[in-house]
Amino acid sequence: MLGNLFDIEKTKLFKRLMFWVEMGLLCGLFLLYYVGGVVASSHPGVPISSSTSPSLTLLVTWPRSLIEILTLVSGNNLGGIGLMVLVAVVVAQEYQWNTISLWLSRGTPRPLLLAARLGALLLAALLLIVGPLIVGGTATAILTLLIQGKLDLNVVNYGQLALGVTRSMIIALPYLTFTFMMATLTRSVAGGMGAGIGFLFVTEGVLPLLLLSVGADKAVMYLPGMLAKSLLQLNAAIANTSLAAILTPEAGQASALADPTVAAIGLVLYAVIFLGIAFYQFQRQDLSA
Amino acid sequence: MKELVLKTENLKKYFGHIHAVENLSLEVRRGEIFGFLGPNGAGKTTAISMMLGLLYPTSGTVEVFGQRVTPQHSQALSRVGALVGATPALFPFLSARNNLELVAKMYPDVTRQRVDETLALVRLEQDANRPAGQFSTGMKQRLGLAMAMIHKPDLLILDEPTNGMDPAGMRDVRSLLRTLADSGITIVISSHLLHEIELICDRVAVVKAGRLVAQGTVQELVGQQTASVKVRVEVPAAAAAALADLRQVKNIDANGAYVTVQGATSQQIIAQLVAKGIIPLEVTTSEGDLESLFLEMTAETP
Repeated sequence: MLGNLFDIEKTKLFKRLMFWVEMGLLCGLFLLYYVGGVVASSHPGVPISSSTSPSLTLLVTWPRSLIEILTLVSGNNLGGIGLMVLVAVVVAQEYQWNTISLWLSRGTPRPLLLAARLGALLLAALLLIVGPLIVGGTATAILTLLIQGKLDLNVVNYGQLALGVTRSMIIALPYLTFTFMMATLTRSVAGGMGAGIGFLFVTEGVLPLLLLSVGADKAVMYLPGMLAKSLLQLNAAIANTSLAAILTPEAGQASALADPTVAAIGLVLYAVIFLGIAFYQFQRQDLSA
Repeated sequence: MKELVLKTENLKKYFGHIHAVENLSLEVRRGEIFGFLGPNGAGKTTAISMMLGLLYPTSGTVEVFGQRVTPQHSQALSRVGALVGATPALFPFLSARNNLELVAKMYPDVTRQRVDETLALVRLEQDANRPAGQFSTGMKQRLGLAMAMIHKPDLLILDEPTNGMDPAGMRDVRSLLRTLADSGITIVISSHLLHEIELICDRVAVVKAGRLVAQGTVQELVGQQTASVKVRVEVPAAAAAALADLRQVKNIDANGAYVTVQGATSQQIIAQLVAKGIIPLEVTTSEGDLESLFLEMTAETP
């Protein structure tokens, strides 16, 4: 039954215009960011290879561009906001449309329904990372060719690139599951979306300052945003060049971050807690039409 | 006696101080069309939601095909099709066909041909590829009905299925439900459209303020009602006083130019009025029907 339900949730999700608009927006933004940046800095009549500054060249060419894209599509960044909006809409609209009753009144166990929905949203999160990575990666591959005159495919460690995608997924988990939980609890798109984005701003901005002001420096390390930073620093290994060493934080900087394994466990733990609350509450909800 | 398909026993649902359903005990048997009647706010949808495992009862039990149903144990509902709520549950961004195909994914034996057949049954084949969000209320109801019966359930629970439909649509649904019942499907239908219920139901239950006030066949319930005679006269108060002398009379109600009398025949009433020097201007008699019974049973007590 879980397989059937996952298929249903997946079909619904990918037939929504919203998913494709978000995908288009993210991909479009990367195109604008990279191609637009290079075009804006170029001078008419001067070859692009000569008119692009060294710092911009580094940013828009492989392998650095791929590392940058993975940072931007991560949960606590641009991609995360898009994902939270999608999760809030997908979860809460089912309450407004009364479509939850469509499945439950046919004897579907509530935890299975929620698990299938979560599975479909995780798949969407993965596609919202991979899609912009492919589009942005292709665009910057062309820019690399134009600026440097060649594209050396060996500058990228593809195993690490795949791990980078996995890290981005792990980073997305607390943000996705918190929004999922809040949309389930409030049964409202605005409630889920507002709470999700609020969570991002509080854990990234307000809470670290508060904790630092009371001397709880260690606690800051375990906030989702800092745990995400700890994982993202590993993306330096995507570069098969001297860039890897440049991007890897020095010992002093790294000590402000949790160990990457601890960070991954911490992020998953946040997700488990939020999902536990969501499943528990959904099981107890009265869902009258 | 036929198999018990649905049974509720002392079912209660309280929302704070509001007692939406109070000690509701119903029994529905295989092959019946069971009408669930009550005015708006009588607790019909709440009761149906508990039958479908959507709401936790405050107390009491629901059994479907002999198995207990709660929001945590709803396996028996796999043999049920339901249409519940003021607006049918459907995905507005999907076409009617896609909505049906989505539900069909739950049932491996539902074929594409069955989807087409169901669309035709509810007369939506012409609009099958239009987004359901563009449908009128009546069309949405028909799609909801199709989604409820796509998997050929053994029990259909329909909450106000003709809501928003035009008379032709209502007639189609009535005939469809009769055909389904003849094929052995048990149907529970809630409505406040009494004529609809009277035409298609084998048995009915009437609820008022969450309580069961009557249950039985339409004939049994209507038979309990006394026929009444309505007389138009020039001075209703004088006529009422004259008719009060008739020992058969059970109830007299003078309202405007009319006096309504229960317990006596029209001949007895006319004779009494003429004997008292009152000329009846118009006399009509009415046999008991479900509508007047319903109004009598669900009338607000002052």
